Amino acid sequence: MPSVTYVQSTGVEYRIDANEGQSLMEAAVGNLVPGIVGDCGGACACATCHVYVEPEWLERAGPITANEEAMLDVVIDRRENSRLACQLKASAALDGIVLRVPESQV
Amino acid sequence: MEPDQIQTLMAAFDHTSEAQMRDPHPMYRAFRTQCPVGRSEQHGGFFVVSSYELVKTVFDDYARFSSTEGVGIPPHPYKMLPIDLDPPQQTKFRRVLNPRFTVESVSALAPKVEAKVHELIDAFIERGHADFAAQLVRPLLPAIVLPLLGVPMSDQPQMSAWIEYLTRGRANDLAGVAKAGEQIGAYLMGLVAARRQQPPIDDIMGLLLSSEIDGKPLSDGEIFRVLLIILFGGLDTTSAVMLEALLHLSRNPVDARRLMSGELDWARAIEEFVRYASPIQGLRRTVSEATVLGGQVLVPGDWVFGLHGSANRDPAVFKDADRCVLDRTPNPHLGFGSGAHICLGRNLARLEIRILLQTVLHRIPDYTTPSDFDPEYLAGEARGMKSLPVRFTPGRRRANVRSTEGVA
Repeated sequence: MPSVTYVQSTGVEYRIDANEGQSLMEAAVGNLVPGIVGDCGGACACATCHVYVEPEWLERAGPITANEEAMLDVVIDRRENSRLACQLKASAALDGIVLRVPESQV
Repeated sequence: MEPDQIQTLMAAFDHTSEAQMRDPHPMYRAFRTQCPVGRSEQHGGFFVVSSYELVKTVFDDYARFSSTEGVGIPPHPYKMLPIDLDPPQQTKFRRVLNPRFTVESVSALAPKVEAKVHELIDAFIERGHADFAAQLVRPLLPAIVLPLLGVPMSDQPQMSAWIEYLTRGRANDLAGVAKAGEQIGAYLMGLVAARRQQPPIDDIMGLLLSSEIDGKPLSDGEIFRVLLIILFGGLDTTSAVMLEALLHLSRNPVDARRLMSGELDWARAIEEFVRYASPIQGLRRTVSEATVLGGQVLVPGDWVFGLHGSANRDPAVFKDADRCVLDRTPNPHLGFGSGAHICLGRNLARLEIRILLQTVLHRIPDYTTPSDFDPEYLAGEARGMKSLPVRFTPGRRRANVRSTEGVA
């Protein structure tokens, strides 16, 4: 199972094992990781699963679709490594990925 | 059912018909199994989507199924925000509003909800009978929502009376309902203008007055359109779930006992009540690009009505879908909607429902509904019980509480 680490703005880390193919939003919500809301259930429509991908993982996280790009425009404090966790799928390629959770999600 | 019969049934489908919506589930079952995307010829014609999978697609895929042309059938007289927008524009409004509706934010309202429920129960508990709809559930919600919006105490009875009229009058006095709607509109517009001249107050109105979207403050009209959906989004819908839950618990006292003993989890039970009641039976989207849904060709401008009420009874997702199973898990229901527009007030609704049910079961544990009670429902996008007559062993009012009988 691919492992994913969510780092809170406080520095607290949540390391979980995600199911292959599951989105990193679902993996976080299912494991009660604070700060990942996922209001829309993964439809890329609410921008409440915003994360910062650690730079070394950014390329492997894959391209940003037009939909995700539009939603990233409305997140709080977008940075170069901003992604929506609902658009990242757990896979062997992302095993060990580190995501930082913004201070505020809503 | 023969294919031409289902077409006939589908062509006549009208969610605003009280006769059809009294028990829509046999009809929904026929739609789901034989015609998951069919065509109603009512209200100018629209496609009816009934299976869980396709309903979810309609509400998740805002690129194909847009809210910008409105979400009601027939269309509502006022455009409302942000329900009549698509992401990402819609998301900007939700960003402003979301912090007020988190679990943490709404929990601050718990004492107020509890006090109001007690007050309403005090007004009838000595009599041994009541209509839970008219005397408990319907008066409760404006008392919570109106102060949240910034309606001053002195105006709340008048607003509550208009709202009560809107709900009750829908069945028989459309002209009166339209008038009450206009009065509420004029009142809220006046309130927005007045609040601009006053020192800031920390409520939703104050939040809207001080917020910016795309670098610009919201206009009076925008604020009015947001207030409207918050006001109406949380009244009929929450009432519908409360009343369905109260009826279920009177008919299934074992469930009531298991809830009160802690054997059943309240949070899980409330999700099941929401699924089972499906307070919003369906909403519209408008097709924005040529597409195919469930084998049906759709063209831009077509109206599509996704039936949450049917999706929530789809046996492909819910075992024993027509039974209210309070420990159902998982429960991926669409009772609060799905996708970008998922109910803004769902955490407040959950809180209100839990406090109401706990307080009723605590103070009026032996309430019963007549054995031949056959509920009638108000119909529309929202579907809710008109009345819920109950009898019970008379109880005592709480000490030092004044009656509020007569409050609308």
